[in-house]
Amino acid sequence: MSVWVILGPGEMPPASGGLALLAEARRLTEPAGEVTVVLAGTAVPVEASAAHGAARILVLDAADGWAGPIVAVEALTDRLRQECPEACLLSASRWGSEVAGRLAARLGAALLPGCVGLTRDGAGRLEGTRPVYGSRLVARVAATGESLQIVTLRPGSESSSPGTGHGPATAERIPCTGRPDWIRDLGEEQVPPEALDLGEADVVVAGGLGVGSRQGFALVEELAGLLGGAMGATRMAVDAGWAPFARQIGLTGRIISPRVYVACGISGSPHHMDGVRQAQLVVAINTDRHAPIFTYADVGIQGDVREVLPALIAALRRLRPEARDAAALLGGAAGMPGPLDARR
Amino acid sequence: MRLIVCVKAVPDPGIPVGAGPGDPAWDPASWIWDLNPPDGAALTVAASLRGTEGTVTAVSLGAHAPQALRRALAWGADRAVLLADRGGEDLDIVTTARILAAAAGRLGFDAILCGHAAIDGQGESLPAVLAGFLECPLVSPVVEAWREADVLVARTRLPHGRRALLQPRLPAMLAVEGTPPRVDATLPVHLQALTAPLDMWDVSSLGLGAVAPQVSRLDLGPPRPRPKKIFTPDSRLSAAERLRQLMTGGRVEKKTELFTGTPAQAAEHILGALRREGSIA
Repeated sequence: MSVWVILGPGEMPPASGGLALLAEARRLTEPAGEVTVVLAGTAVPVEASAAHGAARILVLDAADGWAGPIVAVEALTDRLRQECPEACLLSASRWGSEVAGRLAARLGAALLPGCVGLTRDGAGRLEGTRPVYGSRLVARVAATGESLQIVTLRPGSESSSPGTGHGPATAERIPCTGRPDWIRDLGEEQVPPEALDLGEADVVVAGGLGVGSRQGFALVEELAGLLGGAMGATRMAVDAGWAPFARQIGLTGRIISPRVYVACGISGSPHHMDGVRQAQLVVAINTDRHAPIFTYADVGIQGDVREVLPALIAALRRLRPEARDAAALLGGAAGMPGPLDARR
Repeated sequence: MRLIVCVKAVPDPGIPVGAGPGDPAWDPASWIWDLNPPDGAALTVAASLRGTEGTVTAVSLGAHAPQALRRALAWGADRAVLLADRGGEDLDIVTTARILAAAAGRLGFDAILCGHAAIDGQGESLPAVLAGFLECPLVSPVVEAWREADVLVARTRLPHGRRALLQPRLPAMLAVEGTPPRVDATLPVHLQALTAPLDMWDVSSLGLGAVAPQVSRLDLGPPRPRPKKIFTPDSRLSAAERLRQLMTGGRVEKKTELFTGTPAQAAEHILGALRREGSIA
C-alpha cells in the first residue's frame, strides 16, 4: 500500500501532529508499503521526516517559503494523478482540511474527514471511525470505489507509537507556481482583552482583590493585551465592581482551559481554581507566601502585583521597542511559520 | 449582491439518540431536526450583505432539508431551493458538494456562504470541497463580513485573539462561524415560513449524470465508554501521606519554588517561563 502524508505549516516534524501522522501511515503501510511525505515549504525538516519513517520526501518549492492551500493543491494535483497512491493522510487542521477538500474535488477522490481512527480491511481498503451527532454516536465509514482515499485525522487521534527509520529518504523538490491573487490581505487586528472571549483566549490574565482597585485592573488589562490574551477576574473582584460579570472565572462564572493563566493578587480559593483547573501553565503573583494559589502554580512570585505588573509590562515592551500590540511579541520559534502563515 | 446560503438540518443536540437498534429513540425519524446553528450565523451575515437589490437563496438537500429551509426563510432568506436527492439518500461530503456546486452554478451567485461546520459532526470540510468544485477562494472562519463599495471584506478568526481582514475576489465562498443572534423572528414570520413554497429541484435535472456516494457508512453505534481513571496513591509514600491524598481526591500540590526578588527580577523570571512555554518569541 502506498500512502502520502501531506504536512502543512506547523505540522512538520518534530511537531507532534506530523510525527503522529507519519506513525499512522507507517502502521497502515506495513509490512511492504511505502510512505511518501509532502512538506509544504522549503525551510522544512527533511532529515526529521526520514528518521520517522518516510521513504520518500517531496518538498513544495513555494516562492515565499511556505505553500498555502491553493498553491499546494495546484502543485500536487498532477503528481497525484500520475502516481495514484491508495491514500493521502492530512491533519484536520484548517490548512489540512482545505487542501484535502480541494484535492477531493479536483481528483474525484473519496474524502473521509475528521476521523479519529483508521484501520484496513481484508482487501486493504481504509475504514475510518468518526464521531457523529455531537460525538454521541460513532460511525465507521469506508470508500465505496477504487478511487484515491483522502483522510483527515483529528489531532490527538493518531496512534502514539513513533515511526522508525526506513532507510535513506530521497528528497525531491516540486516547483510551485506563484500565489493566486484570490484573496487580498488587508492586515490584522488584535481583539482588546476586555472584549476577547475567555473561552477563545490562549492566555488569560486575571485579577483578584490583591489588585487593589479598579485602576489596578488597568494593569491587568494592559498585560493581557500585550500577551494577546483576555482579562479575567475573581468573583470578589467582580463584586467589588472592578470588572464586569462576563469576565468572572470560577464555578459561578466561566470555566476555561487556557494555555497560560496569570493570577494576579488571587488567593486561590477552590471555587475559583475549579474554573482554571485545565490551564497548562499557571503563573501566580501574591504577597502572601501561604496563599493556596501557590499550590496550583507552576511559577510562583511572592510580591505585590502593583509593583510586579508594571515591571513585567515594561520588560515586555523592551523585548520589542516597536511593539505596540501583541502581534509583534507573539509567534512560534524562529524560522517556523506561525499560524498566520497557514492562510495562503 | 446575489448570495447563496447552504443550510443543513441537524438533530437537536438535546434529544436522546437511543442505545442501539430496537430502541425507539434510535430512529432518526423520531428526532427533532432543525437548522445547523453556524448556518444560521451564515444567514445573518448574508442578510447584512444583501443590500437593497440583492437576494439571499437558501439551498439544502437531504430528508430533513424542509425544516432547515423553512427556518432559513424565517431568518431572512428570500427564496428556498430544495434539492430532491432520490429519497434522502445518505450522501457523502464530496457528492453533496458536487450537487450544491451544480445548483449554485444554475442559480448564479456573487458569494456562497455556509456554516464553518455542522454541529452533528458530518459537515466538516464541506466548505473546502465546495470551494474546490467552484474554483473560488475560501475564507474561513468568518466572524463578520461587510461590503465596501463593490468589494466584500471579511473578518476571520486567528489564534491569540487576533483577527484578519481579508478581501476575497468574487465570487467567493465564506464559511461562517458562530451562532445566530438570540433575537428570533416573530411568530407571524415563522408561521408564514411554514406555508411558504419551496422550489423543488430534482438532482437529476442538474446535469450531473449518475450521482452515487463515494463513501458508505458501514455501521453506527454508541462510542466506546471512556476508561474511568481511579486515583490510587503512590505505595512508596507514608500511610499518612496516602490518606491525605485520598482525602483530597488525589490532587497533588505542585512543588512550586516561590521566587522572591525585586519586581524587575520577578518580571524576568515570569518572562523566562513564558518563553519556555512558547507564549512569547
